[in-house]
Parts: sequence; structure tokens; C-alpha cells
Amino acid sequence: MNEVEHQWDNQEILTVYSSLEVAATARNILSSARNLFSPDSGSLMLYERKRRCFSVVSAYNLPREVFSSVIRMGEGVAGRVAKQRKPFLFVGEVNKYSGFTDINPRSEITSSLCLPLVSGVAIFGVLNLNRKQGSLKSSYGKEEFENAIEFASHAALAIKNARFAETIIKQNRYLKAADLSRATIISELLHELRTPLSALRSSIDNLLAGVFGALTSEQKLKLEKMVTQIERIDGMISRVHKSAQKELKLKKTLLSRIVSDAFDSVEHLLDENSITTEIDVPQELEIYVDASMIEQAIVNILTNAARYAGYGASVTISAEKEDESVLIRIYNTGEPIPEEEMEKIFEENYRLPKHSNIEGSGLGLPIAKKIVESHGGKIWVEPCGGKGAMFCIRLPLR
Amino acid sequence: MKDGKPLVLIVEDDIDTSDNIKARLIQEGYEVIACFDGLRALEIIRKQPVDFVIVDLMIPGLIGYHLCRLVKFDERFQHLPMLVLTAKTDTKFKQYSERAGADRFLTKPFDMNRLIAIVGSYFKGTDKDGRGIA
Repeated sequence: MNEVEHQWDNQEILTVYSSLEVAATARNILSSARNLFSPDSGSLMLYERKRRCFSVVSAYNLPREVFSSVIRMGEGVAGRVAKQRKPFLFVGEVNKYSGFTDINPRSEITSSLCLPLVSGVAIFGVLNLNRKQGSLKSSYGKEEFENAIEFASHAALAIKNARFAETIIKQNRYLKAADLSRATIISELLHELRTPLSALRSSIDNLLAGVFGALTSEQKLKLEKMVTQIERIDGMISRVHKSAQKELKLKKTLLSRIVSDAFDSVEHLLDENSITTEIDVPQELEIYVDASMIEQAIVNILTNAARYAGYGASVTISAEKEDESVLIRIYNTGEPIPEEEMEKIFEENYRLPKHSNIEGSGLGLPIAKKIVESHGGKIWVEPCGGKGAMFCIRLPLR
Repeated sequence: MKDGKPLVLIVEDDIDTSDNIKARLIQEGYEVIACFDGLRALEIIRKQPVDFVIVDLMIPGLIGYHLCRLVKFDERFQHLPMLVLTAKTDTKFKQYSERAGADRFLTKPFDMNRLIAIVGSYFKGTDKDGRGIA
């Protein structure tokens, strides 16, 4: 999980999570819990299905170190509460409770509400609220415990919904990408139609020119009509081809925003291949582009890096303003691209011979190229001394 | 020039289109050689006195503009007229072709009379038997 949101708000609730959607929800939950149950400290842990563990995403009045702790299902207090899917009210030392006897009690805590966030059988996280020694408030009691259980069931639903929204946003991105590829494929297929059409037309032209012998005027007339029909089909192909090309919706946008959105959509791919990332884009740099299209172009290059740079590689993206244009560099530490392949990789359906066994359509880079060129920009690969691969995109600022 | 007739090379992998152009050019009084592969085309140009080349962009071996570039960058053939034929209508393919040194550009499906007129324009003053080349 990357730490992208990392800020104190005026209520001193610290939230760290990579997804804005879920982070905001986690903060809201802890903030409401603070108002309702007046804890002296508290935390919200979320369950990561992929890593099968819990980590703190939002905390109140706890040391920053809690964010780096990771708890497995069944471990510690939170892990056990989660495994049993059962809320607990601890008053006094925790190790006097059965199932928790081996836990080292924290002497400053006088009572805790430890609530699994459960919806159906699915576990989403654990909410922990503590009262401490020296606090003016008394220990948590039964009534607060029951209210907290009710609160936790709502919190679980809120997290579930936020995750759901996140999935929809991600899928939307995939669909957009798929739609773009389909448009490109349709337009390629249409072009293929022009070849047989051309053979047909040239045959008719030859018949009309008498290459195969003289024709009656009636035969000529029929053939001329055929030529007209061929021209009609050709016109239709042109029109469909034109409509298959997406119109650009140009808008002033922060490049840093486009870049971080692009990284969000390939996060899972980068994670799978343990690829580390570094972003060095000036925060205030604005460009006049169709943001979703440029994001797609960057996504395609990042996807490529994730697939081909190799396990554990790193990707760096940087940008700088140059006169009337902006130069974006996307570098990965993977295998270099041979110089003779540097142009070919942008051709449709071209794939480096050694990558023929890796999943991919061979359309990612050609689409990126189409997008960049449709903005009046340029995309290329720069040699970098046999170390890694450097993709460059130059876009006019306008 | 072969037997006083301009020699036209057709590099096109669609057999029907190639055959049609060939038949028409022969009728118009040209000598014609056809092949469908860019590398074979290069070999022919280097060995025979070709006067005009009609080349499709998407051909096996060596794609159209690479063939143009290789031919045009060779001093011996820099004046050899080359016409690019393609189903790709995007203007960028025309630009690529021009950058590679192509002289003319036609998109498919093309008008055969137009093609013949273009080829003919390079042999003004030539009758069908290729006499009296300017």
C-alpha cells in the first residue's frame, strides 16, 4: 500500500491510505467514533485481502509508528477480535480475558472497545477505541458497548461501499482503455476492406478501358455504376473511420494529477511485479489536453513497464517545461530496447520477439502514440546507454 | 528502359490489384515486372533498368517507405520516380512516404485512369513504344 494521503486534520486524526475513497471514509468513521464515544485514543485498521493482514489507516492520539505495524488475522488483540468476528469490551487488563491471556497488557489503557467491522461473513477491518488512565472519563460500560456495536455495523457498510466505488472507478478506467483499443481495431479492419475494394475497382477500370476486349455501351454503363457503388462504400469507410476516432476534450489540467491517476490505475500491476515508483512532476505544471486520453497514454507505457521491465524493477516519471512544450520522461530500469526496435515498438501488433510469450495485445504503445500525436505531440524511445528504457513524450503547452 | 519501352516495377502483395495494374500498363505500352516483396524489389531495382516504381506501403520483407528510403538514398537511383499506393488514408502516411522520398501518393481504392496518367506524366513526349523520351 502506498502512502499518498498523509495529513493531520484539526481533529488530529491521521489517515494514511492509497485510495482517496476509502481514506476519506476511514477518517469519517474515526471522527464520528470520536464524537460519539469520546475515546482518549483510537485507531481504524483495514483488512487487505491480498496480503491477508490488517494495517492502521486512521489513528487518533496514537504515535505515528502505529501506521507501520501490520497485524495478521488471529494475531494480537485486533487480529483475534477479527478472526472471531465478535466485538469485545475490555475493562482493566486485557490478559484476564480468555483467549487473550498471552497478550501483554498496556498499563495506561483502562478500557477498550474492540469492534470488528463485519458485513455478512466478510471482514473489512477493526475499530479500536481506548480510554486511558488519568482520563476524566470513566471506563467504557455496557451501554456504550452496545451502541458501538451498532455503530460498527454501519461503519462496515460504509467501508464496503467505498471499496465498491473504488472498484467501479477502476473498472471504468479499464473499459475506457478497452473502448479505445476497440476503436483502433475497427479502424484497422476498415482499412483492410480497402484492399479488396481496390482489386475490384481496378478490375472494373480495366474492363472499361478495354484491356480485356471491347464492350457494348450497355456493359460500360453497368460497369460505371459499379464504380459509383465502390466509391459509395469507400465514402462509408471513411466516415466510420472518422467517427471511430475519439474527439478530444481539451481542458487545462495539472500534469501531476494526470500522472497520479495513471499510477493509481496500474497500481495492481506494479504491485504484482514488485515495481517501485518515483514521481518527479512539478506540482503546478498545467497542460492543455484531454486528461483521460493522456492518462491512458501514460497508463499504456506504465503497463508496458510493469509487464516487461521485470520483477523488482523501478519506474521513474519526471516532467519539465521547455519553451512552449512539456517533456515527460518515463524511465524503467528493465532491459533496454534495442536501437533498431525503437521505432517498431510503436507499430500496431508489433511485439519484441523475446516477449512473444508475455500477455499483451501489441496495441498499447501504438494507442499511446495515436493519443500523443492527436494532441500534436511526439512520443519516442531514447537510448540510455544500455541501461533500462526511456520513453519520452513531448506535448505542446498551448 | 527495355526494348525502348519504360520499365515499370509493381511491388504489391495483393495479386488481383497487381495483375490489374500490370495488364493496364502493358496495354498502355509499358514493360512491367511485378513482385510482392520489398527485398525482392530492391534486388530488381539494382539489377535492371527500372524507370518507375509503384509500391504498396504494407508489403512483406521491407515496408513501402523503407524501400523508398533505401532506393532514394542510393545516388544511382535518386531520380527514379516512386509512387506509393496504400489503403491507409491518414495524412501521416502520406507524410511518412514523402519524407522517405516518395514522389507520388495514391490511396486505395484508386482510379486506374489516374494512376496511368501519373505514370504517363513522367514519360512526356514518349509514345506507347517508348520512343523519343524527353
